[in-house]
Amino acid sequence: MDARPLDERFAEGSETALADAIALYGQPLLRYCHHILCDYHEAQDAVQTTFIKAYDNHHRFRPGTSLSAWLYRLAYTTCVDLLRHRKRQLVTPPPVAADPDYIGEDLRRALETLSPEQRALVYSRVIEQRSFDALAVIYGKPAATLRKRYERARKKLAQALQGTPAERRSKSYETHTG
Amino acid sequence: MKLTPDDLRIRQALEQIETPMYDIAGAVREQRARRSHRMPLRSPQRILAAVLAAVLLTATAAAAVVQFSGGWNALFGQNVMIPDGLATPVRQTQTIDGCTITLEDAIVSEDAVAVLYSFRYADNSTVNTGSRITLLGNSNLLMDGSDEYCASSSGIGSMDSQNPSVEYYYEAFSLTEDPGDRQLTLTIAPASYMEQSDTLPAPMNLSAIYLSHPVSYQTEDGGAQRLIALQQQDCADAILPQSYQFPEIQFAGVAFEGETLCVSLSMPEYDSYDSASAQIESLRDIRTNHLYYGSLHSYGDTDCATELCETQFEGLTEEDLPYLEPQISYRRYIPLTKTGWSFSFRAPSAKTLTRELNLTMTDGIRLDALTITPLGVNLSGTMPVDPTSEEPLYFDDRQTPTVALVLQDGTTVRTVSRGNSLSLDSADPTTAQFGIEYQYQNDSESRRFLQTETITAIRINQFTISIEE
Repeated sequence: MDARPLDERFAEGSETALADAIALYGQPLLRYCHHILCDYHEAQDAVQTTFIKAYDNHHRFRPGTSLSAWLYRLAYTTCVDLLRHRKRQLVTPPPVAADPDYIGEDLRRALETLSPEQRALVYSRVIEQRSFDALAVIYGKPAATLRKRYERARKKLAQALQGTPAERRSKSYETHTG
Repeated sequence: MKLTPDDLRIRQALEQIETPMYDIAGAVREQRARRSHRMPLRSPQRILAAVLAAVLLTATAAAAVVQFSGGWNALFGQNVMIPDGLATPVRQTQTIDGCTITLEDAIVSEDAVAVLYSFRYADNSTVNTGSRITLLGNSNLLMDGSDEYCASSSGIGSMDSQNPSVEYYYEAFSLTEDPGDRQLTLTIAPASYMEQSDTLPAPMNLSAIYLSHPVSYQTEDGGAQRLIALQQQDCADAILPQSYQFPEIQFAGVAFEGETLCVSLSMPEYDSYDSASAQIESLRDIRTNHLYYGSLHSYGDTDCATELCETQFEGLTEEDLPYLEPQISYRRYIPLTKTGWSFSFRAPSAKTLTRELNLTMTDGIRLDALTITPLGVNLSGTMPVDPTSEEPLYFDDRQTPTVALVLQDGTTVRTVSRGNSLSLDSADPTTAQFGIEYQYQNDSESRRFLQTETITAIRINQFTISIEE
């Protein structure tokens, strides 16, 4: 068994390292993509594409840097590509797919007032609780820029959520549990 | 990290989003196998060894699998085990435009339906070759004519390593109601095939194209902005290798986004049923013959008419442009069938067991609930998290409990974990809720399925829980 760190093995293109990376980061990335895309099935495609892109480009990953940040960056660009694709498809009917997306309609509407980057930032910040320095590594932008963008996104989303059933539900949940 | 009241409100709202578990490893494996033209996953020596082992199986084990489709072996190993009476042989065949799909078997349980179906050409030709890949459309499972009961699905496909004229697919649909003895309909959308060309050199002067109108993208630039910027470049001499066959696919231009080199093709909007596409696979440095591989991105313009297929390369500069030659591959999607397939069947549902648990494992992990189905085991519970940690939330494989089942005949069935899901507890930032999915294993390479009535106990790490009726 190869006991070397995952990032080293991944950079060499080891199949086992790919499997380990999927086991370690797969589900967190799926949730991340789900929050950006607001569509569970597209999130499945996005996370799958992310790992395939990552493996195809393993030689571009530098061991010693954060594999997690690199994968999140790839996942983010994959989601943005998918959204661009979706934007074009929305012009032409039919919008079929009655599959559940696991997101309430009011919450989806609130999230869709944000840009994909804003949704990604909000998720990374409030759910994964990443620091702005950690976000700077993922998004390739200065921490101060991201802080400003996040604050704008937070304000916008807080307004969009105001009085929605999603917020009422979370408030009543808070009351019952708190 | 200290969260503001707004952060907390947003977090509580976002935590209502449920992200069910998904077999990412399986999906990645399948997509990579499909992309590499579904080469057999096992070496000939291992296949031979497995065949010999299968011949030497005990009569009991052989009887357990012999009545079902060979697809179970192709997908889940030579020694896959399915108990008598669990799977329902459906054996419905439909041929459309020379393409035959057979719905072979189904396993119906109280909360899921797993189906196994096969695809073959009516003339028994090879399903996938090095340059031609058969693509089936999306599948769906309807219950009493409605798809509202299907919560999620996951599946895998594989060619039969001993018979390249057959390809098998397994899909498990998770359902919100018991499908037992109700009308179930599996639908599969029309099929197409993809022809992929070799990677072809496209000699052109990237430097001259770039210098005819240097373009720098902003990160936020969408497809429309990129296309407009590239239209100023002079690409008249950039002739693609198959431009006579696909005149609609053209070289679009060269640009930089920060320090990233972006090289693009433009083509009409395409789909994987009836169209053509191309992509720049790599750039060859004619000085050294070194191939630079990039990451692929696609953009669309505002009227959805044009697709910009861009390959991005890091570490290459304007000075390299005179020495770089794009390497291009083409994909052509050709419809195989005009319509899709539809199979209807009914079967009784096998029992699913659920138990509440109250087990504390190491690292503060608590197990709250257990579900045992014919397809596998699901565990759910809570685990402590450090709210100040900057690491993403994940379930460390080393924390995954070991699960084994004890059967009435005293034998033990081991399991492997196939994935987990994790979400923060909305009421307590120091706790996360998780779910782990396990599949039953017959041996290291073969899966098995179980009648839950034959299970007497489950072992989770050091704990043994009796399964009582």
